Amino acid sequence: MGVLVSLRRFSRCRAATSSSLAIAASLIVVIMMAGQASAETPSPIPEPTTTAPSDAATANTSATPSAESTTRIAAEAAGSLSLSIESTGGPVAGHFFQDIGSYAFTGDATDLDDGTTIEIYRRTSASSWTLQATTQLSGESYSATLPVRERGTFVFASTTGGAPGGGDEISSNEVMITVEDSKITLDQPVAEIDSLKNPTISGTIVPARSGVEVHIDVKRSDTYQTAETTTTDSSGRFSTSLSYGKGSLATYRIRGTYKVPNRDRWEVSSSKTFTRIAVINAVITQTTSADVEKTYHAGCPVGPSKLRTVTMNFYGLDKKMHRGLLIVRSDLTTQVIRSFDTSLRHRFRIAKMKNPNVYDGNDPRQMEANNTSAFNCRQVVGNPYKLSPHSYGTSIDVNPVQNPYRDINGKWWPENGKPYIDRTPYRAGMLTKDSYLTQKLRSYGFFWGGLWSPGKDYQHFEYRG
Amino acid sequence: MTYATIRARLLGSSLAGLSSLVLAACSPSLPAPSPGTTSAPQVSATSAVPSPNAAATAEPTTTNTLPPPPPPSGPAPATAGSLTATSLPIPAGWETAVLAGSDEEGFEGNGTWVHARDPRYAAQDVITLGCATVTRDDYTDPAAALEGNYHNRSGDRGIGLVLEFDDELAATHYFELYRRQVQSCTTRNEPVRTAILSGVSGLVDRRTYPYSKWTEIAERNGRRITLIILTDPGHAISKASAQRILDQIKG
Repeated sequence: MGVLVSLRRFSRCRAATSSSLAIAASLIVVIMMAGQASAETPSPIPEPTTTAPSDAATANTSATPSAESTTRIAAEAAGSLSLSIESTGGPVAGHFFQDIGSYAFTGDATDLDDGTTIEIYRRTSASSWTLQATTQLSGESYSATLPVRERGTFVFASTTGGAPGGGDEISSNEVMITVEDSKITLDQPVAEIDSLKNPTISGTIVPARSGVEVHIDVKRSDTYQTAETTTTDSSGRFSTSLSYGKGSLATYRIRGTYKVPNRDRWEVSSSKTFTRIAVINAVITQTTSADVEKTYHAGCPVGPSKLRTVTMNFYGLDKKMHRGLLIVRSDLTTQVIRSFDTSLRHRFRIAKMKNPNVYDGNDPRQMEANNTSAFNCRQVVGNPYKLSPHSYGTSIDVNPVQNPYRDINGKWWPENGKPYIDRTPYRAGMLTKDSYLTQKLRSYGFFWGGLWSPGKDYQHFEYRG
Repeated sequence: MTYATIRARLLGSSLAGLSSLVLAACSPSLPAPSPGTTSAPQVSATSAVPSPNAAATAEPTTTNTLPPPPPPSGPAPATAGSLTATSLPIPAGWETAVLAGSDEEGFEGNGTWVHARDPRYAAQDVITLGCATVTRDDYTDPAAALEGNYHNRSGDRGIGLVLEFDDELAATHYFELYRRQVQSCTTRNEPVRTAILSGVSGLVDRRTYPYSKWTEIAERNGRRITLIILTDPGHAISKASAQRILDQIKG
């Protein structure tokens, strides 16, 4: 904990001034905040002043030398001064870190009057010193504190007034202090991630300490905006899940920051990037009775045991990724996944892919809602004596609005799909015989309803083996 | 008890007691109209929460199911077995409609208002109302099926379907089973709600689907069952009109 103290007699002895004696009845300390600006632009040295002690000043100073004070060097002769510096309030004993904790200056005096003004200086060049703090002797000792700010190696000395080497002052030994860098580092997140998943953003702060609030900033245009906030653990580690940009397909530049305790400044990490990408991430599960609560009815030819629920990502009309599901016959999952994967790679857009349960299995409703779906045990719209091919889990309807269906009576469904009866010009979400989805499904033996003549069912794919 | 077993028992019965015997013998194995008497819900590997209507939608374990219907290979025949266009009545106020067919309905038009259907699919599609369990084990497939289409002056659609069975017993059994299926939908809203009209000789029921309303008139005549279902937005087809159609069916 102790800091090296070396004694050097700088100048001849000098008695305390009468003025300082006059106000020495109590401990009066003025901490001069010189040097609070950055090292590049040091503040002018304020004139040392003497004021009545305040609570704050008292909190930062002590009339009694610290119990942790280390070496004490006796003066060789009357009128000598010593200086030792310890770190206080920092996370690591014996170490000084940029913008964390304080310098605790203490020293003893010999043959100096109680109340003598003591000035603490920091060397700023080979021949110049900058006043850092002012205090007064209380008995034969003095103390003062000063927040640590800049990092680097610094030499301090205390005097009875005036910079060391300036003339009549009595100077203490010089104390060299190294202030280490405080920093935040960000681990490299996963380079690419499914757009619908959240990357884990982690990193470390130095010196390690818990409870530090760390912000994860994301760069938008030319500025960073805070997207997530987390706190460090006792080892200085932090980790959080970043949801920013979820669903988008883009590369994001991020950084970690935290506000330093000693001044209005933010510690900033170097930046990292990650990219949200489009992947189908298909998951096949056994269809449950809940999955087909509104679409499987008593007597239907295919029940949940012969169906699979394929949950997958798709590229939306809003140009963002979404997750949806299709329920298909168990032997068709591979063909369906591969077809929609190919379609996704070519950025075919799909409005939505919800479980038809959402629409109570009501096909006109889900067509109006532009829902892409597959299994739905129901009658053909317009013929109660005919089960739809969707009852077998072998048919898929895609973007009903952009790909309307003309029923046997010539009525187009859904009503809001009428603008798409005319197939030119091409608009997002429309299927053509050249669409990747159409081509791929056809290659697996699906029939596309857009090829049916004279009726048209642009939304419809039906497996025919 | 399968339908084949039931049928074997019934063949030895007198014709006079046929109807009651059919009902009595079939009752233990026929699906009850109540949705609460079906088998236990199937438990799948990933199902943690049973569906609220799991009992009603319990999946039958029969393997006697049909694959998806094959695509049409050309225009559908205009006759089926002994069934022709004259086998279907034309309801008063309705005209025959010549349809081109569609992928969804699975047939290609033949230039007439009637077309043959695969009788297996026709019987299944008609009886699968979705309100009570029924499987293909519960009935014998008809031998032939012919569908006709109508439209009225408003452009609304009507469909007629004749199912011809090998014998009257099979037709009787199917028709009773069908009546029970229609009956089972009278207390439901999904997938269809039905209301059966009393005081008519055959089966007349109002149907309310989530997106359309229909009135059905059906009757068995020997080994044929004729079903007519007409778009009826206000359920305005009168009992008298329905009876006239039933009379047409009876010939």
